[in-house]
Amino acid sequence: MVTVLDDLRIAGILSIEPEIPAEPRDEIERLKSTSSWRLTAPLRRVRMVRSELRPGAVSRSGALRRRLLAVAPHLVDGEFATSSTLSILRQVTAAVARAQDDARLWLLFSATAGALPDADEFAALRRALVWARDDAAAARTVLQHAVALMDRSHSHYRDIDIREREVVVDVDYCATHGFTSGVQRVVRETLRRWRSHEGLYLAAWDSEGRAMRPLTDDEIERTTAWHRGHRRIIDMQGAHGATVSVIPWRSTVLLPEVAADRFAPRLAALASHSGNRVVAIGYDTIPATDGFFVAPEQSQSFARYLTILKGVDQIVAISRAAAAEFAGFIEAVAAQGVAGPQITVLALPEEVPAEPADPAPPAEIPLVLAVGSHEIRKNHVVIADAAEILWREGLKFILLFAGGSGPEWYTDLDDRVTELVLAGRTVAIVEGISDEELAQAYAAARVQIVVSLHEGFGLPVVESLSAGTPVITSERGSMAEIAEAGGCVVVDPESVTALADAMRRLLTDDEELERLRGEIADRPRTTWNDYADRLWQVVGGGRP
Amino acid sequence: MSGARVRAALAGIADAAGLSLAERSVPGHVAELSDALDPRDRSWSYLILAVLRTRIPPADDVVAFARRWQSEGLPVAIAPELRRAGRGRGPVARVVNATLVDVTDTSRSPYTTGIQRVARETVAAWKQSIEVCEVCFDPDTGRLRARSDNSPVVPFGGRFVLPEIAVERARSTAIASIARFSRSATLAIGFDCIPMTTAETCGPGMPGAFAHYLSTLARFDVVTPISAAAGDEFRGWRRMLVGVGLEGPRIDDVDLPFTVGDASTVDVRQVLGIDESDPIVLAVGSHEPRKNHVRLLEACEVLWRRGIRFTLVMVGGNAWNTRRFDSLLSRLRRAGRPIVTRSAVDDDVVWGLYRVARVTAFVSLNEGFGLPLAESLAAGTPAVTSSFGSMAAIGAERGALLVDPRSVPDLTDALASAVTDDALHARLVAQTSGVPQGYGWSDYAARVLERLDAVTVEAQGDV
Repeated sequence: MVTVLDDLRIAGILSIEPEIPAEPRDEIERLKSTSSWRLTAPLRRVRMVRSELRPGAVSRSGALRRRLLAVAPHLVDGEFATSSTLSILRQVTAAVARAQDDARLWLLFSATAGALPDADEFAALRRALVWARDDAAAARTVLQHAVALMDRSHSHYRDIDIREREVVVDVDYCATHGFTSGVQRVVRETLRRWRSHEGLYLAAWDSEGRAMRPLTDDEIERTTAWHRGHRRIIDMQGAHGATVSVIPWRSTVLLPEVAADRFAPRLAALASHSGNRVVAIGYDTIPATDGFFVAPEQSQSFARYLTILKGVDQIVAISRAAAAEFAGFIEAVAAQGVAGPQITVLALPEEVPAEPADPAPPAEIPLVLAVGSHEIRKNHVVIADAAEILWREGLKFILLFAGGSGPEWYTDLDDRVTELVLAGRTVAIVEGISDEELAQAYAAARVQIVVSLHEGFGLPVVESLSAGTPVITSERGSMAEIAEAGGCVVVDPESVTALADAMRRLLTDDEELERLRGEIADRPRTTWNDYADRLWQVVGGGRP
Repeated sequence: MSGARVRAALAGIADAAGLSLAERSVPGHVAELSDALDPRDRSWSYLILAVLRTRIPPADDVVAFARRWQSEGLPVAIAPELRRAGRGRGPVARVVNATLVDVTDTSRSPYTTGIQRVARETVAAWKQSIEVCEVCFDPDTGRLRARSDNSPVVPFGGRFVLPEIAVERARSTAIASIARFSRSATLAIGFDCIPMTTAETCGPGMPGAFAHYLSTLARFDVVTPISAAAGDEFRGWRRMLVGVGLEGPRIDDVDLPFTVGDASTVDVRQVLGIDESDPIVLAVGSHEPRKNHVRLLEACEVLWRRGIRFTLVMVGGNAWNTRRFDSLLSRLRRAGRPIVTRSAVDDDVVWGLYRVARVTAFVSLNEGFGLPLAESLAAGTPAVTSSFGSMAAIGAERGALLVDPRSVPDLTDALASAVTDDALHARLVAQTSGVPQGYGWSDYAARVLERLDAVTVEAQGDV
């Protein structure tokens, strides 16, 4: 049948198998999804915790004493008596009370509890201290509130690790997930280049989202050296966090991911009260402004993420369009008496993620590429519709949709492509493509199309440009911004005829194509090295 | 098979498009529509789908239908729709070219929230001057129906007003489609963007649903926020639309009026059992976290501990996340502090309370307007309120003391002076006469209507 031949030809161009062969990691995934694995998870965690604890250290008061001894030098000037745990707490509390400073109180509370308070818990302690008659009563109040927080956080036995004057990076998602979308690409490309920097500290959150924790060696590897196809490691997620809580102090805390619901309330309190400088990378505000594009849960958790941003010091936006979105949000919060962060722009670089695995074979039929995960916002159906117009006109080309699978309920693209394949059109969808294969596809394509309805940046646009392939993209927002420097044709992403016109021109007019390729050669180049260096300057890395 | 139903629907479509059908058969009708209408104008696709389906089609369906019409011709695109319409039952949807007002929540709910009061008063005032077609979305089927006779309607070429907030997904999807394709002048009253800007105080689910509502408003012609502060929120949101490439609606603030009901004959003190000599500190509003009632209770506790005599009266329903409020309230009650709480009282009693209270405490963390504050000042009772946003705008120089609501000490000091300092209290009472007089609901409704009248709908050239 024609369709099978077409599929084979496309597969040949990309030299990949449509079916990804089973790898050992899949067995691990299978094992992890069995019910016995999940049921025994708590047992393994307990075993792990026990092995991490030092012999003889297993007492709640012993752990509290160690935490207070660790925090006291940060809060008490000079010598302090270490006779009893309560006396240490009294001295530290007295010093904090004298200073009348939110940040010190936050540190005292976090250290005593071995977990981070949310805004309500923090405010409750601060208010209760108003009624304390003397230092002893104040110390009792602190202990009372800390014990309540410990009970909720199961942090009685934890040690603390206070990271002072460092760059503490919250990489919770990348540390625990292999998946790579735009956000994770930014995190991994950046941290890969930072990994040997002095004063860098990577942290994640414990399983309940109550305290920051150190990364395991596996997790550091996954964050700074991971690539697709990397061997998956069975990790004891959260087990390490059950023994040590990380507390940033007088540091810069960088949030390069969109913080999860699980720990958003603690992070919001940290941003507002801890005195740490908090910097967030701002990608886009799609879940807040474009509710129809995402699941309601995502809008919900994004709204919680926005509450964190009200308290951060700086948002580093990935494009001017993204900066404008965040600036709009900050304008909106003025009505509640909140000043909000400074917003700056550091555009993402133009660099192909990898070198092509093999040199591209000469293409007999031009390849039109559309890279991007398959979800409604990416507006892929309009590309299929425009392609159909051109096929009916008798043009010959192959259309390939390459990208991760989107939500299960979104089948519009699959339906449309199936329809076209049955009609004998040369079109296919490829999911789960590697960086090398993607680079090869970029190099082999005559033109790439990105007409998403909303992007914070549009990585596939710049990746294609850096591979020398012209792009048809949207006349809106960040994509138009990228197009300014050349090599692109912009269209109204909702107009099927405008898109078909642009595609026809680039498929038939070799001169036009050459002109765009010339423009690409003249584009200013930036690399992930540049991006990582500039971001390191923003967070003040390397400064004393 | 109900050919009559399909023919009636096609006749309705033709009528709305200004055509008269000559052919007698369904294929003949379709051919005539196909000749007369241009698929590049997507409002025709909206009209055809809405009438044949008896419900507002989602925007994605309209776009997909229009593209199919363009590439395959109308007979192919419309065929499955005709089959479905033929199988359908009940009356065919009526195309309405009038001023439609969506009162889905207001007509369904027995409660009166601030939003519903605004919607009711506005619609009532409009009915005095113009013809209004009140419409509601069916909770089960998502159909849009006229409130008068419950018949299904399709807005086309008229005006569509949303005086509430629409957060149910089916409803907001439909309204977004109306705003985009129905050739209607669209206006929404903008209350606030709190679920987006202050999610930490919102009940579960709200911020997610609110994102749909905002996406809907993005296609409206005008939004009239109820205060300058709410306007700032909506202007900030409008700026966020740059990434989607939408200009967003015109944002035109129309302040709500300051009104208070007539003095009732009810003896409020007797009803609530409050001693004649005790000054009353009044707080009106639910106990949701945003209203900041925990800090208010804490401030009151300080005053009581200082020996200042007063009764705290709190009027307002229950809400989410009130654990801290409840535990503090019961601790203060056990300590014998004079606190009266009522969850549901008649408006009469509230109006009466405003008049007998010494001071109203309204120290919310974020408000679109703050009706209880405006009502208290309109009744001549001073207030302690927040020093930013709409509350500062309403209260400044009009009898309110402005404080940072996040600071319990500031709150305490302001309440203490309002309760004990008679000279200050008298000055504040005098200031309340600065409350705008003679600007009532009918004036408010008229101003909103002016904004709607100013909208001109551009021809849809959407391709």
